[in-house]
Amino acid sequence: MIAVIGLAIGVALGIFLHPDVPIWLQPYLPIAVVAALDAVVGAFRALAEGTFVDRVFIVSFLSNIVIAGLLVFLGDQLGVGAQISTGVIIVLAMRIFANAAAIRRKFFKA
Amino acid sequence: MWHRLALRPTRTQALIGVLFVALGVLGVMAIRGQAQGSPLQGARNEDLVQVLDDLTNRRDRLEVEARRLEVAQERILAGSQGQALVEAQRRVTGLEILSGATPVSGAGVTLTITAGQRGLAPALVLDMIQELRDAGAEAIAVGGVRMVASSWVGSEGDTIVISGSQVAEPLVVIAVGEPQTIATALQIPGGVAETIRAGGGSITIDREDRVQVPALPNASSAG
Repeated sequence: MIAVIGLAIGVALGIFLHPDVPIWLQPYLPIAVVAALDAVVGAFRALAEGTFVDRVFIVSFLSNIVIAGLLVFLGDQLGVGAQISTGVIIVLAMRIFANAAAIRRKFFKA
Repeated sequence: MWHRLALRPTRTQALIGVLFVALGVLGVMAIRGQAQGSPLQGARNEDLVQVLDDLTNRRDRLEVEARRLEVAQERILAGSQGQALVEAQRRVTGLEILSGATPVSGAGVTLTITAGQRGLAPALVLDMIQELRDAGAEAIAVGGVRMVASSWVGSEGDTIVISGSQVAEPLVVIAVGEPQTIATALQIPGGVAETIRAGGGSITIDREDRVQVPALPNASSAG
């Protein structure tokens, strides 16, 4: 509930306040969003399995974003930024799919 | 299970709310960033190199043109009236050829095109005119009509219409320009000749030492 409200407020803020993205942050933004989505889907899985812990979600949400961002930053410095962002996205997408599958099995038994 | 998500204002719940607010803002920013980016932003390196090459070539061509014009300007400014007159005359001749005000004759090619069962598409005729121009044709007449900047190609049923007049088959195209270059340009693989033949039509390309392209009937000569 609080999650949905927070998301709605966030989207509204983003749309109405037109926050300017600093140019150096732009390559990291999509990665950060996907990393955060991974944490959110992971949290839903934990909820479904009854093992959800607030602290774990908050830490994983933040650490996911930071680690993904650092990896891409490191890749940029090494000159393999495009490849490493692809790699990060692929890994996160795989995790999202795996968690979604776990949720699906829990709810629909299929 | 769902009671954990219920509205219970604890500190961790508030923190989670804040995180979701951040996620919402980040998501919107990311989507916006994608939407307002230029199409070049997502292009691959090879494509960008190609674009850059094209631009560099174009700039080089324009620089050559600019130098030529500067030289002409200096000649006119520094020289006598006679030289200015010669330059002006040269321009008039060039513009007359471009605008179709005078007939043009010289070495060139005569194309005779018959359409297949599917007829001749206006787009194909347009492609052919473009190909001829690219190959350096100075003056072009399609079905006896001189091609100038304002010419257009359309169709009425199965007949091709050039700038308002219907053109009967076979379509005869006359172009003044380097015959060898033009013939080669038309016969490149996937080019005009191949497209016409693939559509069941036929095209003959006659290289000639002297062809004549008529003037545009209602264009008055400036000379």
